[in-house]
Amino acid sequence: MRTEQELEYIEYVRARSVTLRRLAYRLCGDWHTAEDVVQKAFVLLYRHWRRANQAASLDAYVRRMVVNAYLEDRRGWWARQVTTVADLPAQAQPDQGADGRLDLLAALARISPGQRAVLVLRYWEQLDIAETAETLGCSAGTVKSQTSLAIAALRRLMPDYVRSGREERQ
Amino acid sequence: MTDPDLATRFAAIETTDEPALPTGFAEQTLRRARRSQRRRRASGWAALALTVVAVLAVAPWQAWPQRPTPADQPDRPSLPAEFADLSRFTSHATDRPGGRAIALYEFGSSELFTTWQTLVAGADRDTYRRLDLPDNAAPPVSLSPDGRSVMFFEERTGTDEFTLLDLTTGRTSVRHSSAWASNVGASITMLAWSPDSRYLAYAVPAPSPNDGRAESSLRGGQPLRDVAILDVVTDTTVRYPANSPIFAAAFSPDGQRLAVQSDQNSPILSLRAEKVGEWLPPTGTADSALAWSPDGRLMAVQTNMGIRFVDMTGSGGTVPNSLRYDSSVLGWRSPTSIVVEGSDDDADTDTLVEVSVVDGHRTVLSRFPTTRSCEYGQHRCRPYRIQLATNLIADATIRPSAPDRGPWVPVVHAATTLGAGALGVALVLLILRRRRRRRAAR
Repeated sequence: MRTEQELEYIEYVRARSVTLRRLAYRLCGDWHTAEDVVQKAFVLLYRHWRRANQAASLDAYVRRMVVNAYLEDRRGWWARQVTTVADLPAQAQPDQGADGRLDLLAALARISPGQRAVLVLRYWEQLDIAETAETLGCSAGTVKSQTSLAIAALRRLMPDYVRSGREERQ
Repeated sequence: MTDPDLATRFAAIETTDEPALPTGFAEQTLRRARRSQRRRRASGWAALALTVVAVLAVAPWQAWPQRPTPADQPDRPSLPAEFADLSRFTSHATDRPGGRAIALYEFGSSELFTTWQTLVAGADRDTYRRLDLPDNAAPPVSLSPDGRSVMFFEERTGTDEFTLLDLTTGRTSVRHSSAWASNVGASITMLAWSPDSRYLAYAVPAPSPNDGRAESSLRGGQPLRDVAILDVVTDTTVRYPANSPIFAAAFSPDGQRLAVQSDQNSPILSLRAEKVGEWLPPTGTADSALAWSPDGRLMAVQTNMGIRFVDMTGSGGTVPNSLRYDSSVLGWRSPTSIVVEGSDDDADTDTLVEVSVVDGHRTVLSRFPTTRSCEYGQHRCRPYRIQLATNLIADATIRPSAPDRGPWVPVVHAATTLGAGALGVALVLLILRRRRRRRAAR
């Protein structure tokens, strides 16, 4: 990589590290792992900097790299053997402020990485279906079906939240 | 749980305990990226270099025919001035055929550690190939006069099958022997090829006697045998019930008659295994070999008193004096000279010598090496049971020694196979890794 390109790269890394690490944290639920995931994505970005720079949206390109790095990390042998979050309660409890936040994170940690990625991108990162599909490299239909499955999984893991939600609407 | 509901819940759990990035995170990432790039390039070049080396090392030997040399001309057979030393790294004739052969011999030593190879030396180039025989056994094996085929019989298989090896292609095929059995442990012995390399005469144990006694199957300690003639082309055998110990046999130059040497009556047979005459070999021939001269007049007979000659025409012509100090007749080089296995006492080496039957003049054609390459460098290898392609030695020139033992030695073969396997696995892993990374990068 030429010097000027390297300067551009390092500037981008400095500017986007925090945001992208936050996205990685939302995906994996652990700050240390998030740091590793983001760094892995940045290492790949260094290799593909020229192509990434020519993409329509560099941020979208890198976001996709982060999501793929997370999914690859989850597929690894080590990730399957070791959980990076604390012991989870058997069943989530109703939303009670900070505790509710922890319970939703706990439920997210129990669903599959793919479904978690769909939920995070759609509802936490506020991406629309097309953007989510582009980030995950799949079709919009797949995003919809995976979202539906992911929400169903959350309902199973958080039955009290469902009841609570219905009560609130009533 | 609806979409807005879920979005609200996610918004509510916005993190507040986010730790600061480590100091120098960007610089550390840059160093790691540079290192990764260097490693990737290095591994790519290494894989490419390995592939090139593997292709260069293997492909020319494997895929491309060897460059023909002037010595490849089949009309100029040659004997090596010195036979190659014993080597464990000699290819097998079936794997890497070395072309037609001028000589077949067993080579080795068994003073302390038994070390033997059955080898064929090329007629057109200085090739040496091992036969796929048990190295330390001595199965019946015979080189055809044209040097293109070797017939052997593996006694350990206990079948009636000969194996015919084409030395020019490395292909083997099966021929069948006459049915036989022995109550004294006798087996088949090779006798002679017809000059056109179509018929092979061999001795087969005679049918066991009705009384089943071992003594009835032996005479003078030798098993009783019949003579069989195999047509190699049609795989048919005719059999002459000699029921005698058979010492040797030789075809006439026209290939129509077979002179058999036995302990009593020595018949001359037709190709249909019918007796058409008799001849009278000299006495003292317990361990014998025969060679019928190209003009059909003389039979050279190997005896334990030297090589003696018999007039096969009965015309009363001059019969050469016996060669008292030679015992191994290998064939006729001309109507007046034979090739024998000799020894050069001064050089302490075994030789192939052309001996004039007229005046006894001796010319050394080839020597066997004198280096101590047998038994882990402790002993000199010695040749045994030498056979020559008798149709080729008449025109054979003497070539300088430049041994070609073949590209595929067993050890190299195994190492290359393992290396290629490891390289293949490494390449597949590399490709999968790159693909994963590329997918992650998208």
